[in-house]
Amino acid sequence: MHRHALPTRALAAAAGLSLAVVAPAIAVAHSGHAKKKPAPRTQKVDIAFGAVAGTQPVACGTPIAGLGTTNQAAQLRDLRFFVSDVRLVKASGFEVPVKLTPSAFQVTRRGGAVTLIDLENGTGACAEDGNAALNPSVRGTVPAGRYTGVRWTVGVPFALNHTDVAAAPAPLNSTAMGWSWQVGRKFTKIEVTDPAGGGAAAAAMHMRQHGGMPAAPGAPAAPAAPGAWQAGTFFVHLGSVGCSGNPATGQTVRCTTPNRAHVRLGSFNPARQRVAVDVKALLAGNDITVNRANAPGCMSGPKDPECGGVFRSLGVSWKADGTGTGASPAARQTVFRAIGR
Amino acid sequence: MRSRLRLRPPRRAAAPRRAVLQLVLATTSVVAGLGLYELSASAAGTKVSPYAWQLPKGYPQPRVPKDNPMNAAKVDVGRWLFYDRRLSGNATQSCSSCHLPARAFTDGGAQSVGSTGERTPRSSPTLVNVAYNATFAWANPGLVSLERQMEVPLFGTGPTELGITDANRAKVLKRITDDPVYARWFRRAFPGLKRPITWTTIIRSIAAFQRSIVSASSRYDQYLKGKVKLTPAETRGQQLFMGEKAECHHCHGTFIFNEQVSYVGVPVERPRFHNTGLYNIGGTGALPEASQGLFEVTGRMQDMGRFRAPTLRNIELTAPYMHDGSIPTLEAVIDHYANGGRVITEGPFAGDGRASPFKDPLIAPIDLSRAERADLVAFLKTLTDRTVAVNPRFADPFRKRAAAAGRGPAATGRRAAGGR
Repeated sequence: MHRHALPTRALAAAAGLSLAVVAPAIAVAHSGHAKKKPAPRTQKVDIAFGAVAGTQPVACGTPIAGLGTTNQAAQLRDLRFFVSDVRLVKASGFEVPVKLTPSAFQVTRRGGAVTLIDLENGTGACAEDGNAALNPSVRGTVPAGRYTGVRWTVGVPFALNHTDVAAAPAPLNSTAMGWSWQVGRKFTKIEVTDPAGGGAAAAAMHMRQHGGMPAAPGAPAAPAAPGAWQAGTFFVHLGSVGCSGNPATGQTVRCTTPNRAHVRLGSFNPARQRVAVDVKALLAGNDITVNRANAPGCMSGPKDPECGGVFRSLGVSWKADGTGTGASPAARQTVFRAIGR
Repeated sequence: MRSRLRLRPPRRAAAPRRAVLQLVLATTSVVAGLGLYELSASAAGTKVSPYAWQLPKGYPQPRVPKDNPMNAAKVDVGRWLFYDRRLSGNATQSCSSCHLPARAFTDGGAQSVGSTGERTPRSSPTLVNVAYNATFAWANPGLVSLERQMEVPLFGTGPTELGITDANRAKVLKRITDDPVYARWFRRAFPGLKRPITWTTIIRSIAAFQRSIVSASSRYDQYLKGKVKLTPAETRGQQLFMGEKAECHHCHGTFIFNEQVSYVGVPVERPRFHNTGLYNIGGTGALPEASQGLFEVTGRMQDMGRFRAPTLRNIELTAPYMHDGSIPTLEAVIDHYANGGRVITEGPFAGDGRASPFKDPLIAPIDLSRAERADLVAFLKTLTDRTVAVNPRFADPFRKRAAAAGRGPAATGRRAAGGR
């Protein structure tokens, strides 16, 4: 579909197929030119995300069935992620960046355009770190035209990722999305927890993992049963790791493993479709009830065995021997797909 | 804005002389305190107030981030904040809860406990002379400024330390902005800012205070100045330390007896981290999951168990030792190095650290007699600087205020500590 080169507005009027063309706006004309060009027309775009597990909608406080290799029931503990460099793609392959409408969830700075997609509402287990505010959408404008696809990056660009949490503009000032020990941001904060154990089990796991009473390596995994996860919570914290700084300037200079996930949906119509964020697909390769080693769940550790599955789902290079590059040039991922609005 | 704060007319030509005067005052007065503070506050208006570092003789000038220049007013407000328990989510802890002057700004515990009761996996490190660190925390080449490091205790989770979150950050900030004394002081510390009290200026003030904690008044320093003689045992210990037998100086060879230092004029080197054979769980070379050193940052096996060599100044005061506080005494630390690693015979961490595949090649058995070990300990104890605990520039100002009802934030952080 969308193969004919019809004028966008005509198409929209005729069949309602255009990209969320809500109200064509007139961009501010540039001054300083001897001859004024006609101002390019822009159109609004609203790319909505929705959390699902397979075909079922996902929300805080409602049990999710069938996650991971053990078909585990779980509850959501958090579901937030940064997207940046959102581009609409024409049938010809021509791409235009979405110019973000500034808000508490979107910022454009230092050449980077970042949106925090927030699909948690602070209820149920999401009360732990979350809040009531939601932001399901990337909102902005693009030059008027007909677009057939979309692409974006899950993550924060390097120039913005390592800025001070306290001084940064929203949404980069979120302490929950801050990742102080990696001197950057969590690109994803997607967490599912034991539906029976809840916060207590998660806390106990934290104590074991970070509190000086670690579980012995190679300890046998307890059988998976609701309310009896060996690891109380499965964390998916994607983010740049292996970062080092320059002591002379105090600045982060490089990260060995960027871990930004590139996503491309070849056919996408934001007026009629939204982007499914499939928690089931994300966790398909993991037993979410256990933590074999390193941080609970996957916190982007180059050798954390729990990262193999989720990185594969996100299409980011990761290898058990630690030689993964953290790149995702092929944008092959299974977490995001287009579904009906 | 600026003119209101100016206590004297700006005389740019005279500024360098005033700076010199400040330095002279700073170095001649034992208790610089208020006088210096007033001088600097006046100079702040003219933007020509170089901070009067009170550095030990021969100490280089610490590096300071361009966006956080030192000034005396900032250091002063940073000291109050450092000790202010209102600066935690539940108003029960301050930075000082884990960094006590009497223990060279450590807390005496093997591992520190945060404001919500969560135990951290690591031992609180000293802040004395921390301005010279090239990196912060025990093993993190990414943490290269005190300002960024501070985000870990303030905002970090897993473990929670001071417990400031998105949910309570506005409330915590309001405790500070609502205090009229802080409001006045922040205006002096950050002249020209429309909103002088923000998380950014709070962090910058505390970092400035931390940088001001430079001290070297130990017996060893007295010895270097020719004012005291070391005992025969201390001298033998020094020779072992500096010599090729014990070789302690390889990793503790700087003027603050650490390895990585950064200061104005020194070229930047790649910070180094070492595995000292502390663990070798099941012969795999692994450390306990809770704290595996540089490996946690890089994911490279060869970085397993690598940590920063800490300063040995004041080491007598900072027991227990190592990144996880797992060695109780200085004597036991010397035994650990003499043995070329630690053997753990039972429990989940059992293993022969001496044979760790990731151990630094410099860590090899050293044939030290019992007497030689005692000599080394004697020498290490000469590095204790007892002035840190009593230096009024570093002290808890709330305590002083309670005694003398002097200046200070009206609703004190101490009183807030009683609340919930």
